[in-house]
Amino acid sequence: MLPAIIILGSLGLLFGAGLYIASRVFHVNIDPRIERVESALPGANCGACGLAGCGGFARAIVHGSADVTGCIPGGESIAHLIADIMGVKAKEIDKHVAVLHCGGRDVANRFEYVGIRTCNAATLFQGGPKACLYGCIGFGDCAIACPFGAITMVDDFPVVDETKCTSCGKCVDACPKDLYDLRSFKKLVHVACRSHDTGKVTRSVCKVGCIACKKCEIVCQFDAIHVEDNLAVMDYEKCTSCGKCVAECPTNTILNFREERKAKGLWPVKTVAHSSPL
Amino acid sequence: MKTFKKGGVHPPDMKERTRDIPIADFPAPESVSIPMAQHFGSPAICIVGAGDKVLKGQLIGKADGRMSANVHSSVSGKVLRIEEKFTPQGKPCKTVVIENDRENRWAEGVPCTRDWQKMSPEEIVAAVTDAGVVGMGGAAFPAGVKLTPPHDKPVDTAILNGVECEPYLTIDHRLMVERAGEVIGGLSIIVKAVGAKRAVVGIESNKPEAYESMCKAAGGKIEIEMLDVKYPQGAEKQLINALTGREVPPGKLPFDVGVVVHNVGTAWAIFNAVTKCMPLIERPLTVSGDAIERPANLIVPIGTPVGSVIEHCGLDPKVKKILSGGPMMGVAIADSAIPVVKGTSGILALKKIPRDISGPCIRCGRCIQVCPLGGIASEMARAIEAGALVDYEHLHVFDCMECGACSFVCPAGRNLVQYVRQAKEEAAYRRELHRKQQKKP
Repeated sequence: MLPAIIILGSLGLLFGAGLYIASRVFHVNIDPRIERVESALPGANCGACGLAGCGGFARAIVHGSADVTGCIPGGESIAHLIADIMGVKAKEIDKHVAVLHCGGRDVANRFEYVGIRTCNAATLFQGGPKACLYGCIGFGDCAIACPFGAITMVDDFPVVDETKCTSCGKCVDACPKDLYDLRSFKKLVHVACRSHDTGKVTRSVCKVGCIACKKCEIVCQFDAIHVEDNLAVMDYEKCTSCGKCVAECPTNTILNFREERKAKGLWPVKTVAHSSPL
Repeated sequence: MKTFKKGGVHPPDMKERTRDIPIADFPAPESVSIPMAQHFGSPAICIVGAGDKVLKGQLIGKADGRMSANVHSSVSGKVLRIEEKFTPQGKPCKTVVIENDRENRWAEGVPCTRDWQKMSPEEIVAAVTDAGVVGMGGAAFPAGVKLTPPHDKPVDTAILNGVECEPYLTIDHRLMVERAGEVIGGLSIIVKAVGAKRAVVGIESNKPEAYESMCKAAGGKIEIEMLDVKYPQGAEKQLINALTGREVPPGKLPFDVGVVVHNVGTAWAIFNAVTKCMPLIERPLTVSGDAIERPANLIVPIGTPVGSVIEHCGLDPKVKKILSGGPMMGVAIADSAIPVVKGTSGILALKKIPRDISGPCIRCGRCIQVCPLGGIASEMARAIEAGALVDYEHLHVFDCMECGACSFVCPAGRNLVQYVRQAKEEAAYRRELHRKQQKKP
C-alpha cells in the first residue's frame, strides 16, 4: 500500500514539476487585448473585413495591420468598443447597405427551365429563363448567401431587410447578374435597373425597366444622373437624394428609400453613444 | 468487334424513323440570319453592312486569326441589318440578316472545278480554310487547323468518324449511303494534306448499309471498320482508342498520338471546298423526334431559322422540347428564330420528356461506371451543391467532354452535366484570379 502511494505520489510531483517548467519555458506572450477584441466582435466569421474570421481580425487589430472600423457588420457600436480597448479614437463610419438594382418582380419566363434551381446554374443556360437577360432570376442565391438573414424571397423576388443588413458583401458576390451593390446609407435614391437593352425591348419585357427616356437626366439640378448605353446611371458623389428624378421617371424605375427607412426607424441616422469597454 | 475500353451507355437508338429517308434539299428561306460565331475560337469579323448586296457564297465574315473561320452568305440578296442575336449555345454574337432575292446568283469563282490530286498540301489547306470549313460533328473546330499538325507531332493515321452515336441522328449514315464517293474523296484529300500513312473509317454496327456503301467506294488502301454500338463511341478520344488502341493523355490532343479525326460530314464539306471551291454555306442534318410529323434528312442553308425547318416537317402542338443536336449532348432552344449554323447536326422536337426528379446523390456509383473518363461527375456535383471550396482543376474537370452518360444513368435524376459546367466556370474563374494575383507586385 505504502510503496504504491509513494511511487504514484512522486510521479505526480515529477509530472507536475515538468508541466510547471514547460509552462514557463514554452510560454507564449499573447497580448490580452486580442481576446478582449475578439469577444467584442459579432462572431459571425463572415469575412467582410477581408481577414480569416473574427479571430484573424482581432489579431490584425492588435498588431496594427487593420483599422478599428474594419468590422463592417459590427458597424459603429463595435468600432467604438474596439477603439476603447485599443485606446484610440474611431473615425466616423459611413454605414453602407446592400441595394438591389432591379425591380423586375413580374418579368415573365422565356421558357420553362428544368435544371438546378440556383441563379448561378440557371444563368449558365442561355442567360437564364427570364425574358430580361439583365434582371433577377429569382432562385435566391443571394438569400442563401446572406449570413445575417437579411434577404428573404417574396414571390420569387429578393427583399433586403435594412435593419439586418450589415453590408458584408456576400450577396454582391453571389448574384450572377451583378445586381447588388453596397451603397452608403446616406444615399436614398437608387436606379432599380441594370438593363442595357433599348427602351423598346426593355418595355416589352418589364413594366419597371429603364427605357432611357432621359427625363431624369433633364430634371436633375445636380448633374448626378445620366443615361449611358440605354440605362440611367447614378453618380453618387453628386446625388443629394432630393428625389426629383424619382417623381419624373415615367416607369417607376428609380426608387426613393426615404419613406421606407423612416417607417422602420432607420432614418434619420442616429449616432450610437458608445459605452466604456468591458 | 472493336470498342473503347472504359465506360459507355446504351441509349435506344431511335433511328428507325429516318434511317431510310434519302437526303432532300431544303427550299431556301425568305431570309437568313448568319452569326459570326458558329465555330470554336474567335468570332469572325463582319465585313458587310446594312444595305449591301451580297452573292451566294460571298465572304461576309473574315476569320479573326488562326483559331477562327470565314463565314459566307448562303443566299444572294440584300443585307437587311446587323444585330446581336443568340446562337443555339445561348451566347450573343453579331448576326447578319440577309433577305433572299431567290435569284441564286453565285459569287465570283464559285463553283469551280479543281483536281485535288494536282494540289499541294498547302494549297489544300488554304482551300479548306478559305471555305470556312469547320467540324460538322457538332464541335465546329476550324478544319484548316486540324489539317496542319505541328512539325514535332507528325500524323500517321487519319480517321473518319462515321459512328453517329447520338440517338435519332441519321444524317451521317445517309451521307455514307448516298454520297460515299464524296466522303471517301474527302478522306483522300485529308490523307494528302496531313501526310498520313493509314486511313480508317469507323462505323457503328447499326449502320450495315453505310458500311457496305463505304466499302464499295473505298477500294484498296482505305480501311472501313465496324464498331460495337455504344455511346459515346463517336467521341474523338474513344474512337481513337477503339480503332488504334492508342490513348490520348488528359489535356492533350489527337495530334499527340499521331492521329487526326474528322467527321464524315466534314470530309464531305472538305471535298466540296477543295474540288469545287464551295464555301460552307449549307448543312446536312436530321429532323426527327416524336413531335415531328414528317421526319427527314435535309441539306439546309446556313442561317435558316430553326422554326422554318420544323414547320416544313410538321410540328405536333403537344411539343415540349426542341433540341439543336442530339438528345444526349444537344442544347434545348427556346426561340424558333435561332438559325441553323455550321454545327447544327440535328433538330429534334419531343413530346415525351423525362420527369424532372433532381434528388440527392444516393452514392450508387453508376455515373462512375459509365463515365468514359473514369468518373468525375458525382464528386463535382456534391461539391458544387454544398458550395464547397474545391480545386476542380486538379480533379480534371476540364477533361470532361459533357457527353451526358452520367446524367443518363443517374437514378436520382441529378443534372450532373450542369453541375460539371458550373465546376468548369468555378475552375476557370479561379484560374483567372490566380493569374491576376501572380501579376500583382
